[in-house]
Parts: sequence; C-alpha cells; structure tokens
Amino acid sequence: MSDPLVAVKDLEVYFPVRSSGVVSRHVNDVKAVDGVTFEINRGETLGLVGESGCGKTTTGLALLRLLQPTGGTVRFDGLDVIDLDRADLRALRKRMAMIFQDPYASLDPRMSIGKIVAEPLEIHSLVRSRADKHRRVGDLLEMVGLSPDYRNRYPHEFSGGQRQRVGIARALATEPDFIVCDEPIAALDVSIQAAVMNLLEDLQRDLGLTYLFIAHDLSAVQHFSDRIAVMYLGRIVEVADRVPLYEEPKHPYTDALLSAVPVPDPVVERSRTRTILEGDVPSPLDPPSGCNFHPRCPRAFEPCSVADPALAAAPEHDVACHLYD
Amino acid sequence: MSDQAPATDDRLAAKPVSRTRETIQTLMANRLAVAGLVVLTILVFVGIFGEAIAPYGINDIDIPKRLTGPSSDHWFGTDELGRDVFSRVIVAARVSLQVGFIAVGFALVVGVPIGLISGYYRGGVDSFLMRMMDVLFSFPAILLAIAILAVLGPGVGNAMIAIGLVYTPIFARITRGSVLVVSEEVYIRAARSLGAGDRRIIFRHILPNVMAPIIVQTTLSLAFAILSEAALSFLGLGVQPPNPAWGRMLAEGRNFFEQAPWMGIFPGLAILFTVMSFNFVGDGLRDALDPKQKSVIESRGQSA
Amino acid sequence: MSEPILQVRDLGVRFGTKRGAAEVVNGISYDLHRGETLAIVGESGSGKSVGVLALMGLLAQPPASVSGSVRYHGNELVGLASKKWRGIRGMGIAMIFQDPMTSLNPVRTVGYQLAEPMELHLDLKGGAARQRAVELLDLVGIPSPEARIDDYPHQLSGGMRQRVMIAMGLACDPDVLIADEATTALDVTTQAQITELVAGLQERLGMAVIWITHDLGVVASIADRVHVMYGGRFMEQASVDELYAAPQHPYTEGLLGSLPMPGSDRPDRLVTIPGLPPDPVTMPPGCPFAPRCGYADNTQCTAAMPEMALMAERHEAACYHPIGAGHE
Repeated sequence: MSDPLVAVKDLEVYFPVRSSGVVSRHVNDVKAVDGVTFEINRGETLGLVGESGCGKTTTGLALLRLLQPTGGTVRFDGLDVIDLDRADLRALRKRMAMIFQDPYASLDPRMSIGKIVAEPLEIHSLVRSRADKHRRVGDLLEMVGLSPDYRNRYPHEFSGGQRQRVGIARALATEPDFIVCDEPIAALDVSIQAAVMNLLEDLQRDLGLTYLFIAHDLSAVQHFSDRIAVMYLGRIVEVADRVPLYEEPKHPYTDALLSAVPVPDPVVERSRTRTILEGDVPSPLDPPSGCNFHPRCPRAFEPCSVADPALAAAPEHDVACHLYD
Repeated sequence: MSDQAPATDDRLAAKPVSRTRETIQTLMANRLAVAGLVVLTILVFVGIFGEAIAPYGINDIDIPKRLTGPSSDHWFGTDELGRDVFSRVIVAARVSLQVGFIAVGFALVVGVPIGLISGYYRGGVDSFLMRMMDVLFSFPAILLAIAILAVLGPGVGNAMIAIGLVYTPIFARITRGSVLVVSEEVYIRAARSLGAGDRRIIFRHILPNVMAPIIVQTTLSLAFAILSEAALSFLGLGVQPPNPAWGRMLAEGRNFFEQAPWMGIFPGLAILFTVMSFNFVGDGLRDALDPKQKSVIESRGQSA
Repeated sequence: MSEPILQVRDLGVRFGTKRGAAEVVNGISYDLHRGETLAIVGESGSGKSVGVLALMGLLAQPPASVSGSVRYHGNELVGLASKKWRGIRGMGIAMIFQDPMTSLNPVRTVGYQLAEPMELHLDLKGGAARQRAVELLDLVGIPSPEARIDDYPHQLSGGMRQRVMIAMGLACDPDVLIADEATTALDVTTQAQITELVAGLQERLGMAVIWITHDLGVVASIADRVHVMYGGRFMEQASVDELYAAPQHPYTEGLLGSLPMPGSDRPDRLVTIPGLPPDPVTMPPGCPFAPRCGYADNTQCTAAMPEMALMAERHEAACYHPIGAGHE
C-alpha cells in the first residue's frame, strides 16, 4: 500500500486550567485528546466515532491545525503540519477542508451564498477574473445540487440541508484532497440526512476525496466509512475495518456502543441482548487510572485499574484492552 | 451529480432578502423611528442651508425691538439685543450637528479599532487597551470633558475633541464585547479553515457582524454628544460669542427668563427635539437589528 | 379492549402569524390504553411536539388556537379552566422534555424541586416529602440518592438530569408519561440507559407512555404502536412490527429507506426523499407529502387529503396509493 495521506502520531491536545485568583496559576489540564495515533489512506474514509466530550472534534480541529496541539505529530502527504509556518500553512489549507456540524452557525449570515463559496477562491487566488469566479461558483453550487441562480441569496433563506450543501460547496472550492467532516448530518432532519450522505459519497467517488468522518451516530459511520476508529475519553480504543468492527467488536466499550445504538427494526431489537453501561463518562480533567474505561467496564479485571493498555497493532484490527494482552 | 435535482424552492421570496433589507423594512414599520428620521432630515437640511433660510442675520442688532415676544416678524421673539431668536436657533443647528457628528466620528474611528484589536487578539494587548479605556470611562463624562477643555482651552474644536475622547471607551467596549462573541462563531473557524488571514477575518467577517450594536450606539451617542455640546456651551466652554449655540442661548435666556421666556424655551425645544429624534431612531434601529424579535413560528418555518 | 385512558379526537392547532394562519396540527386522533407505549414519529416542523403541548394545555392561546377533543378518563381537556388543570398535570399526566438542563431550576436543589409538586398535590410535608424524593431518585437509578438530593442541577450530568426529570414526573404516580424527544440531547449509551429505565418503570407502575421522537431506531426498540406524522397530520398508524415490516405510506417507506442499517455489508445508496418539508403557512391543499412523493398523481393527491383507511388489521394509512396496493 502507498503512504497514507494523513498520519497522526501520539497527538495530544491539553487545555490548561488556571486557578481563578489575582495571580492565576496553571493547576491542571483538560486532556481532550490524549495520545491519539491513526492513519488515513488516500481515497478512503476513516470514521471517528465516540460520545460527546470524547475528543473527536478536537482531534479533527488539531489535524487541520485549527487548534494548536500540545504534543504529537500530524503528517499530511509527508508534510509536518504542526511545524509549518504561516505561509506554508496557508498553502496547505488549500488541500484540506472542513465541513462543520451546524449549517446554521458555519455560514456568515452577512454574506450571500455566492460570496461564501467564492471566498476560498479569493483567498488562494484561484480565479483570474470576475467572470471566471462567477462561472466557478456556479459550477460548485451545481455540483452540490443547488441552482446557481441562488448565488445572491443569504443563508437564512435556506433550510438546514441546503445550507449544508453550501458548506460542502465551499469546502470543495479549492479542490482539496482531504476533508474533515465533523458531524455533517447530525443537525439535519432524517429525510434530509440521506441525501447529504449520498452527495458526500458521490463527491468522494468522482473527485477521489479522502474523508475523516466524525460522528456520534454509529449507524451513519458504519454506512459511510471504510475503517472506523472508536474514541473514548481522549483515546482511541479500537480501530478496524467496518465489517469486523461491527461483527466482532473487541473492546468492551465498542461492544457497549454498538449495543446502545437502536436498530430500526423491532424484530432485531427484541431478539438482541443489550449491554447497558453503568454511570457516566468521567471528567477529562481527572481521568481514571490505568485504562480510563475500567470504572464502567463490565469485563474489567486486576490490571485494568493499574496499567494503561496500549493500542496493540493486530493485523487490520487494533485494540487497546488488557483482555487481548 | 446529486440525485436530488437542484430544488427550486417555492418558499424563497422573489428577491434575495439580505439582513440589511430586512432591517430597513422593520425600521420603516416603526412610526416613532420614521418620525425621528423625518425630523433629523429636516435638521440636516436646516444645518446645511441655515444662513440662507434664516430671515435675519444672526447678529443683526435691533435695540428698539429688544425682548419682544413671538410675532409674525419674529416667530421666536427677540433677545436682549433685539436679535431674531428664530434665525439664531436655525443657524445654531449647524454647529450642534457638526460637533455631534465630528465628536462621535472621532470616537468611532478611535474606539472601534481599539475594540476590534482587543477582542480579536485578546491577551496582553486586550488588557492594556481596556485598562486605558477604563481610566477614561471612570470619570463622569461631562467632568472629563470640562477637564480636557480646561487643559486645551475653550472653543468648538476643542469641545469636539473632548466629547470624542469621552465617547471613545464606549465604542471600544461595545465593539470588543461583540467581537468576543462573534469570534467564537463557527463561521469564523470555517473562514480560518479556508486559509483566511487575520485581516480578512476581521474586515470581511467580524466587522460586518458587529456593526449592528455599533450603529445603534452611534445614533444614541449623537444625541448625547449634542447634549454635551449644549452643556459645555451653556457653561461657556464650547461655542464662543457672538456665534449662536443652543446651549449658550439657553444660558443667556436664563437671565431674562421672567421678561422673555422665549429666549430660553425655543433653543431648549430645539435640543429636546433633536435628542429625542436621535433616540427614537436609535431605539428603532435596535429593534430592527435584533434578530430575537422575530417570531418563533417564522424562524421555525425556515428551520426545517 | 378496556376503556382508553386518553382519547384524542380530531385535535387541531392553528397559529396566527404575520404571514397568515398556520395549521400546525391538523385533525389527529388516537387512543392510549393502560400500559401501552405509543410513539409519534415525525421530523422537525411536523407538529408532533405542538400536538402534545396542546394536549397538556401548555400552549398560550392566542397565538395558538386548539380545536377538537382530548378525553382523559372521560373528562374533556380541551378548553379546561386553568384551575382544573392542576389536578391533571403532574398528577395524572406527566411530561419530560428534550433539554433537562433548561427544564430544571438552576438555583434550587434537586430535592427541593422534587418535593415541591408533592407538597402541592399530595400534601406531603418536610421529612415525608424528602423521604419520598429519596425513594424516587432511587427508583430512577440515581446512585446514593441521599447524597444527590442536595445537589444543584449543574452538578449532575445530562443523563442524571433526565433521570431527575423523570423522578419529578413520577412523583404523583401519573398513569400517562409523555416523553418529548427526551433522549435526543443525550449520547447513545445514556439514551439506552434512559429508554431502558422508562420501559422498566412502565412495567412496574403500569403507566402508559407517549414517546415523541424523530428517531425511528428508538421507536423500534420501545414502542407498541406507532403514528407517523407529517405536515401536521397522521400519515400512517400501525403496530411497530407491521409498520417496519410492511410500511404502507410512501413517506414511511422513504423514511425507513433513508436510514443506514448498522452492520449490513456496505449497502447500496440510501433512499432519499426529494424536496423539503412543507411550510405550515402555505400548506398544499391535498396531501402534504404529495409534492415530495414519487407515487403522487396530479388529481386526487393534490386536491384533497385522503382519509385514514384500514390496510391490514390495526394498520391504517392515509394514502390514495398505498404501497401494498402495488405500483407499476
């Protein structure tokens, strides 16, 4: 296999917590992302799934350096993303893009959708003339299933699904190789979600895009991804191809997560036994010792509270759990 | 490319509805604001062409007709030197508006960039700039203006600088507050993800989205600036005699209040109407620019 | 079958807006029996939440105007004087909402908020009310309830807050619990905890439950009967098995087809429903789904709303071209 397009190694994003006083001292860190390693191959979709607060969005932002990581490396097509200077970072932004969760918040309300889609073209000087820009914007809107006649409209005139299409057109404007999709369908209505997912799939096939698909909804991730990484409390606990991950989940957390996702089929629902987790996700300010899932884990045993399991690279199916030591 | 044909959406209005258009429509539906706008339009007209409209010269002394009440010759009566109060009130409109616009313009030009820089870059720059603004803000406005004039010396030009300085921290603070909110918006992060630099983000995305409170504050500050100018002139620190100013005329009228109340009443009314008009327009703008005013049902209709 | 607890007939809600009247709920009817779980499924704007708010008398009138009939143990609730509601809300019918944070008062302890309705309705005072509050927290699976009872809402996680809301709802032994998108804001593992909890409580206490949700996955795991709502109307109603196995309405078929099924081999493309949900102010005359429907014709469908018709035993759909009838 060729080199991966994106290689993330030991990525750490800590947010310092300061004491509130006259002189603020650094007292602790919120370990939002705590040593995450994964690779994304060209043309594939890696799903990153986990519950709120597990650090999946932070990982996506750090990968594009929209947040400065506190440790680790991110390599994009061989370039070290973390150490790039301003000019090189700008050039890199041409090749990477992001689609955001909330199509209401991610479009500037004061700009027409034509201007929104044109912005990346202007930033990277990708168009030579006004006519050229007009044509490109029209093409982009058409590509995502919007009429180019809408270019002078404002975001608030559109529905959520249409706005998300505008966000996708903007992300495509610079013809990027890699797109981070951060919960792109979570804010949309059920009947609109499928259309946006299909659109993203079509674009991937036609343009050879590589995706990092971040979501909390395992069914959507399952449908959309080639491989899936499961995240819990700042760590990746399991990475595998979509089918083995679903059919033979190894990590007890993955198992519980799969079992919690309701299947839209009452017959299946009645026949399966569910693993319901106890309690809540602990605070990333003060994660548990050893394996940070052990207080909720139905299969925890002695080493779990003491030693932190490493993500063991089994062929095609990595897991960080003492059960597989 | 998509299996969904470019949807022609029958919900869309015939023409694009920009926020600006919506704002103007809402403003025009507000009767008080429209009344304020009409008064202000007349005022600006009077301010520009005051000398041409005025029936008498501002310093045409006519001692025999001194302190005569309102009549068909002298609509607002005459003062202790027989000068026509109507002509003086009309001509004084110019200096009031000038001081108001220039002083607030100064506060805008200095305050808004300070607020933008403070709110966008935060950290040490923010602390330094905001502490400076706090120092200015901690004095009562009119006292600070008097103190500045005491240093610079009385006169219209210095009054403008004084009033402008007094209002600078207000604009800096309002701008900074809005910038702090807007810079957390996802669309700012989206712009950054596209490779937009600081300058583009500040001028293309942040500034247009923080304009609403600044516009409202500008209108309301104009009212207060005109009031401050009147107060300074009343105290003899603003416009110098023999040039007319509403505040000055009010001060002079005070001495003759029992014999010739019109000397004070008409300039007083001029101040009142001007300040009220600016306030009505300001309130109207605030309502028109506040998206929370939209009814729930309407915003839901768009949110599906 | 026994007398239903709740009998809703031709319930309608209309809102006056600047652009004209909006028919947000349009003639919905259903029965709720003891111990039954009914799900009302719809997308945002379908009127599913407004429908239950109207049922609970929680809509301000005006701007809303409510028509039709809601009978609770035979007593008419539509147009009930506000004084009489006190004996019903909280006592007989309890409701839990999507956002447990904004439904709880941030400046009062959990115990205070639990005791309040009991003092109001049950005449329990001080120690007795507190004792009952501890029992309720225990009932909804909150660990060490004696300690948690003096916590403030912000000290609890989202899942815990939803448990507290459920405990508050249960305080006066209601026989109907309405859950309005009660798990939408929660993570999937927490959602599973809450649906499991409600199902367990229902079994023990014999309550009837109405789940209002957009999530067909949740519905499959908990409901007995399902009503599919679109554009303010019921499109289809059936037992949960019937509905998923043999949907009759094109809208239901589209919704089910648009869901990614976990676990399957990479499936074909998802089925999509073109277009957008209707605007309640400019609702099309006939069937509200007709403009997006692949089976719609230009005569019947756009002219008049079809009546609910029996498709199979206890399975009704309002459609001129139901799936079962076969399409060429």
